[in-house]
Amino acid sequence: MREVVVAGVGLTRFGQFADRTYIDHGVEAVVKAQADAGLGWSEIQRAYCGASGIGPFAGNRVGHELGLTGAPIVNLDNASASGNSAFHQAFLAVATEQCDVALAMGVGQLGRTMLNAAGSQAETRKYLAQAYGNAMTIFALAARRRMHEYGTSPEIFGRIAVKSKLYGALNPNSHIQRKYSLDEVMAARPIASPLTLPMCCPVGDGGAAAILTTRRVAERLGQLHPVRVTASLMKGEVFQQASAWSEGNTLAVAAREMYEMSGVGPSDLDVIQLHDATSSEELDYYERLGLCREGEADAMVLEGATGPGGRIPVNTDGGLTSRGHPLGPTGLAQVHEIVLQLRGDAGDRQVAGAKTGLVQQTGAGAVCFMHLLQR
Amino acid sequence: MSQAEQEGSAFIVPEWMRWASDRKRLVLVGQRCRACGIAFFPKTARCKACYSAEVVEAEFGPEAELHSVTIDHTGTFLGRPHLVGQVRLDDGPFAQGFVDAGVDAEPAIGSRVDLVPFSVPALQGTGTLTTYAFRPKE
Repeated sequence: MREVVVAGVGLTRFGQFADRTYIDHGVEAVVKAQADAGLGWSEIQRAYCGASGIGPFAGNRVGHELGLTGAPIVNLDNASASGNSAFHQAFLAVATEQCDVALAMGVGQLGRTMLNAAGSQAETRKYLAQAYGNAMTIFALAARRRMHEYGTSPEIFGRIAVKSKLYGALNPNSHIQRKYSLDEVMAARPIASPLTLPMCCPVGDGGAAAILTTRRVAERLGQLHPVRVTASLMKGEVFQQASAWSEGNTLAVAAREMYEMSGVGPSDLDVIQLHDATSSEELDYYERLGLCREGEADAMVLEGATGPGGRIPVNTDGGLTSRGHPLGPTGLAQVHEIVLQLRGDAGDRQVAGAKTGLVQQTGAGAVCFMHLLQR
Repeated sequence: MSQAEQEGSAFIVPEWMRWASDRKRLVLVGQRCRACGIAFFPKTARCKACYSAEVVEAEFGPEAELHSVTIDHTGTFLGRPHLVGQVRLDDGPFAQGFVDAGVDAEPAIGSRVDLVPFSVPALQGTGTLTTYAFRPKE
């Protein structure tokens, strides 16, 4: 496979916007990515759009606004990882010489409950039978199990939320842009014990895009040191009966494969964007990614290892719990942040000297993506 | 829920549960793979572990071990905060559902629970529906 680089990225502010559609968000993100790359719409040879739960042909509806060039647009739905699916496919398209310039975009505009995703009464019955009305309960159950097994205190989750909110307050595109104290986080509205509102991702809208191409095209655009995609990996769920929490197991398998494939280990990473639907999920993933040994993630939090100035900053744009999580664009917002960090353009959130960044995203517990970016 | 009410109320997902022999508790209906021996709930078209089609129906319960528990403060289905639990069924599979106890009477993780019938709100075009729930053993 040939080398693939990120020529441009674009992002809208995430949040709830009654006067904007996902099409508006998609157009804004793509236009920003084109401007960042210095490429015209007609130079996009194929496009992949990640979207979940907003109806069919989301990418085509964005494309209709930008012009009908004949370039094919493939629509992808992998829940939280839909944008990562688009990125992965765009990466493969360029790497395998199907095209020289590919667009990955993601758009989202969300309802509020799992029930909105249920397509029929038969499906709704299954959600109801399992008391599965609040998606956060799944993460809360895993958090409570961790508390039982490792003695993790709820304040550990709270500290991660404080860190997330701090980064979000520094990000002009973040859904939530205010700092919280630990006391505020712990005293906030409970969602599913031990998780309070600031520990859970908000529901919202937004758009994000990335343009992937070859080094030769990037150089033609005047980009002599573009961010390159060292590896992009997708892993499906593998059956295991030892744990009720399959997300973490899938991630651990994907991480091992990514490290073997790239020759980059966890100690080589400078900055990470990972799937934190809740602060408790982020804590678990520190261990699954190999940033520390099993049972030692609590100590990482207490040391401030994943916050500003720490040894491995995580979710420097605020993550899902602050920057927001509209599903479709979420993974491309992660890519956007890593590209800014590797370019040295992340402003007050900048990780000094960042050269290697990892994006990780989980989709409905059934799929895990890893994108390793370097400069 | 009285016995008469229980028997007049349809199971919300009939293929997932049936009455236990004591007619007070429930068993969950899943499968066991003849090829690899793995048990799972609910049923799937093939064995989740080895993909064999040689799967046979298996009952789990009417007791289980509580693996985790949380209070769903949003009360999406019941309109009030309620407990949600995850149990490990005795032959291995996990199941999630309501916990039949008040939010101030949360059972301990690792404790034994009974699988009992639990009324949930009617859906459009249905009467009262019954699902399974996890009740702390007395």
